[in-house]
Amino acid sequence: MNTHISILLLSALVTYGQTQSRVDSTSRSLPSPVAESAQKSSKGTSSDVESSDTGAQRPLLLKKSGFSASFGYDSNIAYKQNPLGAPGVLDQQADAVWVNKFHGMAKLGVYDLDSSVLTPFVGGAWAMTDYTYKNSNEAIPDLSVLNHNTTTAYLLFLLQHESGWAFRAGVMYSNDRSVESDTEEYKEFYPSVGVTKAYPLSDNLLGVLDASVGSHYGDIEDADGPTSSSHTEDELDHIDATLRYSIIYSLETLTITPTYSVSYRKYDNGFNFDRTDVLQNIGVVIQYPISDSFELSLNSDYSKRVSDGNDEAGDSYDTLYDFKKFDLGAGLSLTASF
Amino acid sequence: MIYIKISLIAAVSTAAFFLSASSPKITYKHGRIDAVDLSDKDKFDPYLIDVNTSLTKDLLIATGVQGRLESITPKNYWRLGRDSMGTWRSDTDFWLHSGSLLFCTEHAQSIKFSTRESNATFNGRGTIILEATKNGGFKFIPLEGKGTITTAKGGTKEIIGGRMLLVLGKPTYFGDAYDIDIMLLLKSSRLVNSYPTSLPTFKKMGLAIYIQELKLKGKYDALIGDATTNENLEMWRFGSAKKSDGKPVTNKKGIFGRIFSSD
Repeated sequence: MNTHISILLLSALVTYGQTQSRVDSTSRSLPSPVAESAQKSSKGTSSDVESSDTGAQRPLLLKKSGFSASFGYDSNIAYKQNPLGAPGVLDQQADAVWVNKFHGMAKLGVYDLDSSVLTPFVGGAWAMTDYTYKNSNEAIPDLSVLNHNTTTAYLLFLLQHESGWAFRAGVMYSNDRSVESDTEEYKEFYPSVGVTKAYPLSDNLLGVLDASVGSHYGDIEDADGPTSSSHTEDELDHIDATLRYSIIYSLETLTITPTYSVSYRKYDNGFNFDRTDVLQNIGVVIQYPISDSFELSLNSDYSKRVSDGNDEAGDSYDTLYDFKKFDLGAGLSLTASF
Repeated sequence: MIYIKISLIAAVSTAAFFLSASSPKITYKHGRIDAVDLSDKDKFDPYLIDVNTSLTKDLLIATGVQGRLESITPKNYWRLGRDSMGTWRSDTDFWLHSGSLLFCTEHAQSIKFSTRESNATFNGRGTIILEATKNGGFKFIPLEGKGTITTAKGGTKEIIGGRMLLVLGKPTYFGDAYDIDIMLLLKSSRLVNSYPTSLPTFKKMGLAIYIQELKLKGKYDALIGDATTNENLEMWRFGSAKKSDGKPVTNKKGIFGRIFSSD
């Protein structure tokens, strides 16, 4: 009887550790409408209009209010090496991870401020993440116990300046809920500001520079309970500063987007006191639109995190948090706009 | 002291008067450009003109098939397209007989535009293309800008980047308004692209394109042509025959696709 209880407790602790590792290795950020717009629409249609003095006058149908909305469904299945962001070598719990996401966004008007244009956005998403890894020799023989649903909601203000720079500020709420236990694993508020500049490199190459700064205020289950101060509910709180550069390459029907990003993160609470991370990511997305509302994609990325600092016991954080991750996936996306 | 102040005010006022009323000069020309001095009513004797010629109110300017000219004044950019004819009555007053004209300013002011039949007053700043139409009126196409346009019978309307207004009749009134694709017009307009200097309002035009993109519902597969009469406006359809029901047939593309594509 005691053996069974011990195994159950051990299993619960391992699951908790894996969840915390997974939450800690997940990047959450506010959407960047300008970068997304550039990525989705770097290709235009061809219409060989001859030059004239005045120029071609093609009539458009415009909305009066500037209010618009879209909703969609994305499905992505990916082979992931180290999907939970465990420290150490890359090849851990290599797994097919399937993410299904429903998302929506509303643009609340277009406000012309003479030298810039302000656009408020609200949006949200609900994503289901399913793991398929099974190995009876592991502490968690079936990784599907870590399946979770992520809910996000955000309010965002985008200011497009005539110089081409786009500034954004907003706040996002996010929470992860375990499918297995129907409990909240993690929640956070994330106020953030960012700036984006897109510029042409050649006829079919577009560079997109994006920088953002934000602060994550999270709430995760206290690992050692309220009686101990080693772990705390807010130990995953951190500030981050991220620089991202993408090149959008437009072929006939394909868009290929390689991206490099580097993120600096600073933790100051509980077990993670005085911890700093540098997370680098390099990835590529290949998009193939079937129609205006249906798109197929391939994606791959490699991430590496390096942590610095020591915990209360003097142990270096790098043994706990340094990781490498690799993903290779394919997805489809359906979007409806109105 | 008071005399100095009065002298200064008088000097500034005089300078402002002459600046506003002065005639622009040709700062760039390409191809053949003729002028006729209308002050001598007994003869009609065209002669060739060149850079630095003052565009006085008595000169009727006519550009040839490949001709075009530009006049940059302290406040304004003027460009007269090919096969065009008109007169600068001053730096703030232009009469267009035929062809097309681009006007650009970053300084809010009052500008009079007139054609054979119609006239209107623009108050504000912006980048505007005028195209004379067969019916004697003109198309007023603001690429960007802030301000109003006023006609005798049509009242006053706020200008909106990309919203073309038909200016018709005598007394003048407004015809239909059409939102037109600024990006496509910019790419295909010689008045915008075929001059050595770039317009100072390109960034604002970019913003006008951005606003249009944010509000876009669809594009018609058609191009607007001439207004042959006050009731008729030519419309040239392109694309597949199935898409001829007058509804928008092309879904919107993203802003950067439109700016940087080869569309």
